[in-house]
Amino acid sequence: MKSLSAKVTTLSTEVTEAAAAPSPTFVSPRASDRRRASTMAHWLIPAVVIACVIGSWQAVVVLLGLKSYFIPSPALIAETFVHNARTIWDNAVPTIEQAMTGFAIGNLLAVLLSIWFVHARSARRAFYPLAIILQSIPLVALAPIAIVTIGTGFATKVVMTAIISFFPTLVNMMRGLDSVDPSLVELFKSVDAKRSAVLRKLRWPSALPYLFAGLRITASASVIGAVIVEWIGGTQGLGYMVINSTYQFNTPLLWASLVASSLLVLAAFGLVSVADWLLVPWNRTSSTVEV
Amino acid sequence: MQLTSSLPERIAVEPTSEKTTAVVELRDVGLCYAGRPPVQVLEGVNLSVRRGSFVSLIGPSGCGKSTLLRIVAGILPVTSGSVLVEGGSPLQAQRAHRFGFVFQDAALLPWRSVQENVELLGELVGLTPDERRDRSSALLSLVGLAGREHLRPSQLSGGMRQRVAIARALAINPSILLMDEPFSAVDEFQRELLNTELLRIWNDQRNSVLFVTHNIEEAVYLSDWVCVMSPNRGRIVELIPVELERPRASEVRVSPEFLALRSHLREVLVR
Repeated sequence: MKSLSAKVTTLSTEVTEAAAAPSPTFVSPRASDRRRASTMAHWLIPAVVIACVIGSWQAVVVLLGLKSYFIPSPALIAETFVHNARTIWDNAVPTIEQAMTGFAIGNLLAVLLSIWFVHARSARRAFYPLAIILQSIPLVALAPIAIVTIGTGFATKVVMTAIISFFPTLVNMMRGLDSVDPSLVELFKSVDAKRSAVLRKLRWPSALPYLFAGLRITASASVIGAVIVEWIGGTQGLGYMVINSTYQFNTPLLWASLVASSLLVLAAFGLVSVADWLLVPWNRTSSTVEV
Repeated sequence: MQLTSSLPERIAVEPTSEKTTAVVELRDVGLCYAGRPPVQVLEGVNLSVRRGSFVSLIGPSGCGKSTLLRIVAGILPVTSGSVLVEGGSPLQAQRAHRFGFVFQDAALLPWRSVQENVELLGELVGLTPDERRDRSSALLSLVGLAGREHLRPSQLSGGMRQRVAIARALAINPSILLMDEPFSAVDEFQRELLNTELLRIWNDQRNSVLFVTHNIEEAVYLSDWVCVMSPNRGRIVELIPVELERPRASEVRVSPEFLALRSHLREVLVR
């Protein structure tokens, strides 16, 4: 997608250069039409699919007369959500707080460590495999251990969300810092540029699209992680709401808290995407998600 | 194979002290990568480039011409022989900011505008913002990109990007311009146009140029000397002077002298 659109731009600018037209960023009308059409399809088709799924869900529940404690209809879930908005919000706040704190700490550590790894080959060889192994431990297995050793407080939850936020960003940043054009490294070398200058002016900006790919993953993962930790051992938060409403057979509230968690994940993802769009303007064509 | 001996007088811009005549001096340069078997990339390369001259390195892929360019720039080491750049080591020349490098792909920073790309090296070598701006705007008009300072590289055609790359290389006023197949990614018409442009720019700046190419016509049109390399252990097999008058209009490409040189080079390369 990226290479395709890049090719289109190159082609069209070459046309302008040859014709010596004043505007250097000329795009043929047919190309822009096609782009508009594909943007429509891009948004419209998934929206229709989602609407269909919700519609048929509602229809099945109503037509078969399913009990709400078994599976509530979308309308009932929406009603429960609005009715319990205050409770949901009160429980969402601690989830947001711990997700954001863990997200910040985990990502900061990942970025610093990746910069160290790129500059010290031996450190990379020593610690990178360990990081990969640690990543393979499932969170649900790690959470009880953290609760036993650190307790059920805020610290445990932050540690868990930080761990979740750490690895995807580390891996992406390593790839990003290594992704620089070899010619550019030679160019910097040919004027005996300092390593700090290579990092600041070359490696760091080159890595930004990769960093944001990592941030997009960890933004949603940190919310999911926070919910799981609350679910395993908590007295408040969306995860606690999930487990509590399950115990109380309050299935509509269970679904409503599920919707709230999902909205939170989407919001986190959206915020990072907006930041990406604003801060990495040269990479706007590739809005693909790397997982 | 010394080329300074028979160099025509018009090329000697500064024929004063011995130090200034040869900008690049390669003596019996060899590069061998350890391995089983060891790979001899270059062997017994002798070349001296006089100040202000335009020398092309031509040869088939894998003959070590790009490697030689990187050795001159101090990016790759040699395993035998010696390299002198302006009488010192390549590393000293790096520190004195004597090199301008142009690559096959323009290798521009996509997050920087055209002007910011041209100012990159100035930042690295510590020019003041005023110096950088003066230099970049002068160079951008020289390469025919005045008025496009604020575009991003993605908004330029391949040929325009390569012009930016040339301006960037010239921004620190290097004494040696190293060009590694700079026009091989643009089409034939663009290439001819850029060749003419390059000669015009070179005439203005008067740097020494080491130009790697695998295009015979381009090599003849641009150069004072064409240095033919062989893929067999990376040696220089022939050094051909091009005594076409300068400045060269593009009509020179159809002159009998040009065509004779071209067919001679073709024979040497195909042999």
